[in-house]
Amino acid sequence: MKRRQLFLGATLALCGIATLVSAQSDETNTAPARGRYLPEYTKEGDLVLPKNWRSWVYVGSPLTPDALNNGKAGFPEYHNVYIEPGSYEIYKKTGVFPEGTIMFKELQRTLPQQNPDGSRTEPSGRGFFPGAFNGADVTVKDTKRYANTGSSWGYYNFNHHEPKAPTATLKPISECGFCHQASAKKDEVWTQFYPLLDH
Amino acid sequence: MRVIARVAWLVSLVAVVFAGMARADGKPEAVADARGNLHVPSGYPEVYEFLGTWAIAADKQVGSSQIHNVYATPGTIAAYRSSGHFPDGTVLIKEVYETSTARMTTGTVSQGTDWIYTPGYPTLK
Repeated sequence: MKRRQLFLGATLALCGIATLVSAQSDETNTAPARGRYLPEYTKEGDLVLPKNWRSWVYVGSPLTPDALNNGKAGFPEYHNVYIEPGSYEIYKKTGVFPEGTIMFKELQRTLPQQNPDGSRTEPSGRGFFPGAFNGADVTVKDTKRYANTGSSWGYYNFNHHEPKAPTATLKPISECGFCHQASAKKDEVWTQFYPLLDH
Repeated sequence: MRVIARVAWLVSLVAVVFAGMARADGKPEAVADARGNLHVPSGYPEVYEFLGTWAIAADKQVGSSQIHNVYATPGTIAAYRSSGHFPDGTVLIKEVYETSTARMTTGTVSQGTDWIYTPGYPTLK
């Protein structure tokens, strides 16, 4: 009887921990990355919002606040860009983004402006400070899957507001890809902005 | 009572295993040597969590003059959000970039260019 109670108790405790761990990762998207995370698609072919991108390798944050762009920037915020860590390891060795590479751009608005140039003043000085998250854009490299779009990459938008959409439909190349093809330094990735990838 | 004690022991054991997995997975390097001197851990951009960024406004032109990127040891964000405290051993690293500001297809952009300064921060409690 005692043994049975112990078994039941231990099982419940394990379930509790498992729930706690998964709840945390859902909330923060920071569960540690293990192995390589490859893109997941719905049966309709839409991309599923990648998991735990906040524990991926962060490469940089270009900043285009509204106040520098006549009040209407295309992306009025920080663009925090991450690369899936397994793909990054391969890129670091080969200099080539492997099939299945995922780049995650999380958009984050700046805190409200106090000064005419859009900046505000905080204890550390006058500047642009990160505020609310504001949706995400994701690209996936797959030379076969996206071949008929004219690109090696698929471009997806998971909302330009919160919450992020759980899935996203492939964007036509005229909306995103053309600009990457025209101006991004390497394989449609803006490596010129990200020292960690610029080699 | 004995059952509760054994279950509690098992829970703590499992918790240790989970914590150990997170550490082994992230492989953060120690930042202090035996004499207490700090150094910047090599490879931190690849294993630390990105915590946030802010940009210093430029004085004489539009845009920003520097971008500061802040990283934390793996597991810090989840631990802080669940407990409200930074765990012992947490390391924060602030990278400072000089910036360039230019007109791009997405608008006027400031982005970090040259990595100029990466201080290590002491353990937070």
